[in-house]
Amino acid sequence: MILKILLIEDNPDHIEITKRILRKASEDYQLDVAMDSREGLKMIFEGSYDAVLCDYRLPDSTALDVLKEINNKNKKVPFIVVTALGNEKVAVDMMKEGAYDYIVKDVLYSDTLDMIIKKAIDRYGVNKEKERLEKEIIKAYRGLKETQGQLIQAEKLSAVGQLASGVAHEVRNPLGIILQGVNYLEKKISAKETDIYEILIMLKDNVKRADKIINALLDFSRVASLDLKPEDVNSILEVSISLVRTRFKFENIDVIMETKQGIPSALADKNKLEQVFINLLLNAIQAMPAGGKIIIRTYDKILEEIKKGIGRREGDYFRVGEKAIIIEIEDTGSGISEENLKKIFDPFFTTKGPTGGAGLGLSVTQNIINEHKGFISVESQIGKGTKLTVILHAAEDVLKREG
Amino acid sequence: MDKKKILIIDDEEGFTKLVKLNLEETGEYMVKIENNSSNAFKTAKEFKPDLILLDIMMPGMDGGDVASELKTDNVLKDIPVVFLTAIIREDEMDSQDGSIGGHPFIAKPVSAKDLIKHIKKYIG
Repeated sequence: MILKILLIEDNPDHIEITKRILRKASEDYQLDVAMDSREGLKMIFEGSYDAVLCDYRLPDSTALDVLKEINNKNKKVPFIVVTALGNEKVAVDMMKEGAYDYIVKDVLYSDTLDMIIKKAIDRYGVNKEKERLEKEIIKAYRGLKETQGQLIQAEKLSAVGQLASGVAHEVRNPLGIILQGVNYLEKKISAKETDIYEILIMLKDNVKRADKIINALLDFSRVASLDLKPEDVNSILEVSISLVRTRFKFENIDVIMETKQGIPSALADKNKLEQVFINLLLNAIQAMPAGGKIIIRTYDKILEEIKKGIGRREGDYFRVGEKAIIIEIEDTGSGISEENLKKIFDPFFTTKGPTGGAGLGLSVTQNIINEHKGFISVESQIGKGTKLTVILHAAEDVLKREG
Repeated sequence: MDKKKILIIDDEEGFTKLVKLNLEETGEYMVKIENNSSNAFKTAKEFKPDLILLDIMMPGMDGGDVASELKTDNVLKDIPVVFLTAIIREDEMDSQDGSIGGHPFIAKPVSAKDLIKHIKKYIG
């Protein structure tokens, strides 16, 4: 195997000596020479050397500067410093910077050079392997964490779903009693008692509020029965937008449509998807109390990359090579902190305060998308805005696959 | 004009008591309460209501069982039954044609005003 070595050295005698030593040691060495650091660095970055031998004192700088520049550019190469006699302290400093070894220009130079180069190359190989393994371990750990997170999320969702109809029954009955009681009292008090009348109105409003939470819970538990058909996501978006259009005007929000005309149909439940879009639009509006922009994009894309949920395994929602329909809803609002980002799909997580909602909007949304065997993801930057991306199956691909 | 007779079968005592108060307050109805679904058939036989309000989720016999039992009687089978339920939302009533097994239903919590509106639909 050819070993490509770069020598950075300005002394012609020394260049010649090194050439001879290496030629004698092995036919595998191929030596290139750079006369100063500028040329040396250029060759290091452009070529691929198995090792670099660098004289400490160069006409335009030192080996330390060369090594620092290599580290800055994150280039990895076994780097060996050649020093003059008595300059070992410098060499040790260089090793601290990440040089692989040093060699002194003395009588032993010719005997040890070959060994030192090979040792450095070996160590470099071991280090590279170690780094690769570390990266693999980190990747596997991240994957595991992600799966664990998804399992916890799925568990939470199913627990809430199972509870929903029981809770609905247990809460709505007392609500029914309160409402009937309030209705009775309304008729029994005289018109003069405005204070009491106000209290009764408040009670009625709060019955409605509690009932709204129960409705959200029931929605949440019922997404399992989807009516999937080929649907045009642009038309569903238009309907959803029309339902919240007055809010846009009222809250000083511009809507920018970047939808792809003639986009292939997605396999979707029209009503549920409408609910998803409305939820996302309302969240976007709420993120921009001082107004702003909502950018809505739709496009289709062939999935090429194997990643979470995209692959060839049985449990993967999407196949590599499959066409996906992508919907993005982006706002220019306040953004979501990293800590909250982790929780936004959790049931009952809300930042909107006690009157804002039950904290079920996004978990219902995620549940609906899960039932579509699609994905929803979120990206956000504090102060810049938030982007929600929904990925659905193209109807033609699924129908073809299922015959 | 004779008062219309309404039988409410629901295990929620507070609810039945207040519905009775609200309906009788109008002067148009006479309301009988049955909190024990097992006695529903017997009470209906005796009271001969013009309309039955029937809760679905009850301990022992549920609303569906009671409705089936009422159907076995030649007289009772023609009395309109309106189900009361806490597990269906009001806005879903339209999507389900407002009926369960051919019977109309009302979602709880329901206001006295809405309840009367529903009742009037079936017995004028």
